[in-house]
Amino acid sequence: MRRTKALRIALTLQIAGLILELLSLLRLTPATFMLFLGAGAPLIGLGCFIYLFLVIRDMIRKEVL
Amino acid sequence: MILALTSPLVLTSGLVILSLLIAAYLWTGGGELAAGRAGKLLFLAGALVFPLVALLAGASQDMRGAEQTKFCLSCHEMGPFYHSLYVDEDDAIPALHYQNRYVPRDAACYTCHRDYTMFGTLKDKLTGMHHVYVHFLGKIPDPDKIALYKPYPNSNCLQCHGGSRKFDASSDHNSKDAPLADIYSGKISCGTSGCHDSIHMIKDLKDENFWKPKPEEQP
Repeated sequence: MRRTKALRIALTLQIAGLILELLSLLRLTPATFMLFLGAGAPLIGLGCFIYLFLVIRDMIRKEVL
Repeated sequence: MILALTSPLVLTSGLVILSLLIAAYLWTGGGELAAGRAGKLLFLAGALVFPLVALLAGASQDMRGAEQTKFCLSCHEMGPFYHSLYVDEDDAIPALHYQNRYVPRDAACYTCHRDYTMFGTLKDKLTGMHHVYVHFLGKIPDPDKIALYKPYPNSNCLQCHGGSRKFDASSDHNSKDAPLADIYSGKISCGTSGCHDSIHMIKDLKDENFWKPKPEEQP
């Protein structure tokens, strides 16, 4: 249950980041540029990090690693 | 039409939309999807590979977009600097370069104001971020008070002019006051030594005549 919740959080962060990225691609202005680099990119990165963390944790638990 | 569809901007936007759709699908499926083997692979693609590739492609696309003249002009305080590119005077260095297409018009600011060093592009992007910060959150100075952080480096001029036959053979560049070696080493500044000092002339713009390009010449 906690794992599902964590995955949902990771995906939510990524969706928010991707929306900001799409905004900057559709209309590039200093504001959208700053929003993407300052908020969108870190959100996507954080989402990927959470997903990777869960995967590696699972692997350690199953003694794959 | 096909060309437009394969442009980097369209492809990157498509990739971002695809990543969004996969992420949204996974979000609705939640943990159940991640149970099976196919679901795990879909999660790997949708929660790691696609977002990361989309992030890199988008950042690269935005970085390229930020080199465009129109991006620099998004900030109204840059208006007089753009206006100065139309000054009808041969001595005005930026205007001369812009009007005669010595620099690409759609990337005029970036061509002259990027540092041509190993980390020049990165340094310029960081400086640009500072400009954006000041534009939104800082105190914007009057256009005539806007100045470079450090003196304009000769290397930016020499990136194009250096090694050119006309430039090296010019008597002005081989005079006692301005020997070629000193110009190349940066000991004598191109812009502030009194030789090419008509730069953007923001204070004098109201007294200048302006070049009126034909409609097809306008960027």
